[in-house]
Amino acid sequence: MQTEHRIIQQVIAAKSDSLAADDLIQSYIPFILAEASKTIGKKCTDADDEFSIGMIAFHEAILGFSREKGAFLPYASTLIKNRIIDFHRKERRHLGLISLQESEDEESDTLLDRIADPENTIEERINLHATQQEIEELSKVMADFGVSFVDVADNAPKQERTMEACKLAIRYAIEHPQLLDDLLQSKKLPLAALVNGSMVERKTLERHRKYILVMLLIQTNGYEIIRGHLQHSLKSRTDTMSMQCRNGGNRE
Amino acid sequence: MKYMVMECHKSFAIVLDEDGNFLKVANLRYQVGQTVYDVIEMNTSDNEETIPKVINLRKLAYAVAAMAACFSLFLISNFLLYSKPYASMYLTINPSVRIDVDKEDRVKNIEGENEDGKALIDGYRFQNKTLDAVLDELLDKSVEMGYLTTGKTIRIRFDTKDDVWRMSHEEAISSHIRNHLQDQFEVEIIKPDDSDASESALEQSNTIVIPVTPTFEETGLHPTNRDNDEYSDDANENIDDDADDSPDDDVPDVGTDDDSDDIDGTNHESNNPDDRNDDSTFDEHIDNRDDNEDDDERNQNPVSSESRPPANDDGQSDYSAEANPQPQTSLDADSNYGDN
Repeated sequence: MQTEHRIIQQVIAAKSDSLAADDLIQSYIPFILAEASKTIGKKCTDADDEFSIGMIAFHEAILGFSREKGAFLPYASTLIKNRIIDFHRKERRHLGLISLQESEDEESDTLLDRIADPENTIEERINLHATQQEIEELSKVMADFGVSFVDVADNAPKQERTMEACKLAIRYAIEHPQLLDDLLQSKKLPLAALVNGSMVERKTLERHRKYILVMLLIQTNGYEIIRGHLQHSLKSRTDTMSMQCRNGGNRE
Repeated sequence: MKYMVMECHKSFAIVLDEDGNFLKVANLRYQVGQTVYDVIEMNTSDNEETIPKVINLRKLAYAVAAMAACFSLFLISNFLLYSKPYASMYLTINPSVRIDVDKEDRVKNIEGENEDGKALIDGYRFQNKTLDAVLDELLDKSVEMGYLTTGKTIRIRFDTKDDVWRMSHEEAISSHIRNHLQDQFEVEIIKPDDSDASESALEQSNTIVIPVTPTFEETGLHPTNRDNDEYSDDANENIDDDADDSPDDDVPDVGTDDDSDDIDGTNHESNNPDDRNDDSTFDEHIDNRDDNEDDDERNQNPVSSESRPPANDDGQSDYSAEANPQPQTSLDADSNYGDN
């Protein structure tokens, strides 16, 4: 009874704090492994994909738990089982494909060895390293603003229309680099200027201010790789599209 | 979709997709800075809220579709039920016409049963008209074309499985026709064969007309007959009357008269062989019956003359033959058989 009570408290606390949830999951790894093993019918190690899926399912259980609906651990166990079954169903689509690691006989090279691997070149490794550095730097700047990636992920707009409205504001900022400089100097998001410039409602921007902040930071100098990754989304929009989005944003 | 891994935690990773979304995904041993293609996204509470909404909408759509389907089925079945011909009415003057009606008495189809009937309905539009209206117009038209003249008989017959419907319509339609033609013509109702099958009189001829009392009363052809019907129901007196005014006799009474003879005759014939010999073969039976018919005819008169005054007619003699002199006739038959 006492332990059950404690776990409920922990779960409730972890609901709003992703890092606390991470800690809670850490302490329940044996439970997750046991549930995953039960579902796949063989021993599940922490190298298996099923383990990762079990952990994310456990995380979902923390977020979805409510005191009225019953005990936590049976709920988590159900979610883990369902998630792994879903995953296997998805994987079955690839059953007809052959594995890169497969070899015709024991001695010969595997398929992976024989085909040229464009991603595994030294260049790619350098790229990866550069990306890592960029992200590290970005997270440092974000820390100055008091924002973490977890916050951003929780704060990111979920609805398509809201997303478009936020992008309008971001695009306006890109077109007016002065705003970005102001942001870096004053460490404050120039909300008023964004609202005036993009005609998006202030409430919408305020609700997603952390997200907008990170997106604007990415647009400042020094994050070419991340910007390249995003380029597709911010530049492919035509003006007619943005007009539609503006209307949608106003209605919201 | 490409995802760039931004941050890794033990249980999840945060990735940035190409549209600028930050997502929490299952950490399949990712590395910060790595670009991945397939991620297992975490179902956040927001996502969970949207999913039931979609399902509800779909369920609602299904429900609406099902209801619409049921409704249209109902409509179609109703339409089929009422548009299907429910009964047929045969109208025979000399032109013979078949009129198909539905349950609501709307005329669905008209066909001529003979050449005159086809000529009568040629160019006639019956669509969206009731049975009464069509009858009126057809009768008027047949008067116009000279088919229907004074003294002619209009015969109507109903063909349906619904006895209640037929009963009600026989009366209604015949009185309607009479009203329409100001009683200038006689209307006969011909019942279907299968009704009143117990009476052998009807089996004899299909076209024979049942002496429905309203027919007599309204046509008023035979005042004497009507009086007799009222005063006495006795069969003997009726038959006597019939015998008296035989020249004026109308079809139905003659029919019944003949039939009563037949009934007695068949009884007579069938009784004799049964009483006579049980050991004779079937062929002999037939032969005997043929013989006996003649014999009976010969024998009847002497027998009746013995038991009754000679003034009595055939009907009386039959009754007596049935009751009294059976042993005698059978004896005669035996003697005949022996002679043969």
